[in-house]
Amino acid sequence: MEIVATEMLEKNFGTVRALNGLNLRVSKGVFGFIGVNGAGKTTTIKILVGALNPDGGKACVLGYDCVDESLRIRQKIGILHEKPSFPRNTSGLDYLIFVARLYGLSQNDAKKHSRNIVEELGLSAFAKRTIDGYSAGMKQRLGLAQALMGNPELVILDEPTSNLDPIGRGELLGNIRKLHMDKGVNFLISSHILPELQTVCDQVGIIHNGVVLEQGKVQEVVQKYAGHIFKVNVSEPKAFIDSIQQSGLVYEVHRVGDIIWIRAKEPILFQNHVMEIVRQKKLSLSLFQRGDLESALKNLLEGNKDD
Amino acid sequence: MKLLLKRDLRSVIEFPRLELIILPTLLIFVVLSQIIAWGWWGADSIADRPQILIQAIIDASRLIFTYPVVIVFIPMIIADIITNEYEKGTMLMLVSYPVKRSEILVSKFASVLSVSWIVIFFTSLAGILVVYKNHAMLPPLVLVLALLISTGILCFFVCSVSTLISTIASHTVVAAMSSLAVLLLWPMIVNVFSWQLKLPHLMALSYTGSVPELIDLLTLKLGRSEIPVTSLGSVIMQILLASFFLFLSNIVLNRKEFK
Repeated sequence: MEIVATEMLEKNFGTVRALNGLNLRVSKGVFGFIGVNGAGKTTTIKILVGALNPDGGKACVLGYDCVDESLRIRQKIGILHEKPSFPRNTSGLDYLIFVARLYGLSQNDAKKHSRNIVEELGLSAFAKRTIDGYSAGMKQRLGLAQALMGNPELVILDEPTSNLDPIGRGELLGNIRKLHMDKGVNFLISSHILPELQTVCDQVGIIHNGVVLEQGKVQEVVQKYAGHIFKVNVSEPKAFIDSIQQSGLVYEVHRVGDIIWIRAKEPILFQNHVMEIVRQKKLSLSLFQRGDLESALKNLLEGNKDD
Repeated sequence: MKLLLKRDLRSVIEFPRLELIILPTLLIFVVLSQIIAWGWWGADSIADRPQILIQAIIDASRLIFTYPVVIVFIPMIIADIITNEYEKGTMLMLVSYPVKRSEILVSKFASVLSVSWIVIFFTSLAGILVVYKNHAMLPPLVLVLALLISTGILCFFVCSVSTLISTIASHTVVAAMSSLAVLLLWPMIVNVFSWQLKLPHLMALSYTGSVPELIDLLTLKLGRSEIPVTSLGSVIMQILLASFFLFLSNIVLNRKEFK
């Protein structure tokens, strides 16, 4: 069953067309909703939760219509908006209790549930402090906690890692993975920071200029759009690039800092050839990685398809 | 709903230094009613004419509640708890929870209205007690009730106007200033039209007349011989208009898009 489905969804802001006939299908699991800034991710999410009204098309969440049955949707989902705002003078724990009660829990149940979530997400140390004194990372964790207060079937996270340092990002993604594995919570995560997303998502949808360009399982999308892309870091990049270009096995080679990006013609032949060059020239190879979600997105937006 | 009301009441009470509004208001009311009684009406006649002191309380109430408290502070507080929540993003969070937007609106409206009623009640009570202490006389109960009811209705009206403007506006300062401007210009425009068109009944649309006029209406026994033309109309218009504005605010908030 699809937990989110949109059909020719349209949204305009004045003369700007934010969504241009968006068709999105999200199945149970962890879904990565990716695209560059301004692609229409946040607009789509806001329509799904009823904060924006679509100008055309249809959107359903858990089988309910986003316009006519918005309240029922909000009873069954949790959401963390991009840059979430909380009342400043209240403590994190009190805020979570308030949210739990909005989801219909009794005062006692709300307290119990909030304490459990706080413990699960590692918020215990600062749960009783006022939110005013929270760091960006703490607020993001509190944001995830409030999204879980209604025991949701689906949690929508809009750019959840954008304000976090690498450690914070790792922790948040770890929590997402754990919640999915242990409790079966489904996630729709919007992001433009892709390397981490690739580690938690099983499906992905790529949006650009208000339309979904591609969606499917992560590995399939990566294979389709970045199966021929390689990232290499070697001790003598110039010599390596010369050799690789002479081989005639590559379409193009770019060097960005220490990383060499290569689009190969035949991946298997290319891999063997790289190993040979490294052996012959006695290079030290610190990174040799096949295409990832980031290169798939880049390739897709540039209009290249590898198979 | 109860939860939201509790949250909003807390926001109203935590409005930047609400006590700085209430305490000076209380003090000014007490002092002003005394000054008016002595100055405007003549200190000598107070003992003979209790109505003078009563009139002083009414005048002080108009000068204190109608303008500074009701027309200035209510728009500020409402802009703070509605438009400022748009600006901060907390309203987006709130509308993303399983809560009806009409509940959010009613809770905000009710919290400001109830706090203003409480402030008016205790401030009036304090004024009356001070007068009693100094002159050993209490205003008639009907007058006190008239004062409270009319100022209460005025609060209802001002809250509705401010709520409508605050739900439409996107910036807190714009919301507060626009509400203030509308409330100040409203009676002037009504007066001008009423005078130009030579339609005195049109004055019923002006909310400023309702406090003294409702008092007139309810205290005929205090010496008034006839009901002022616009009294009842003004009060009814205020209630009707306030209800209509509240209804419009609900429509606006329900259609509001959080970009």
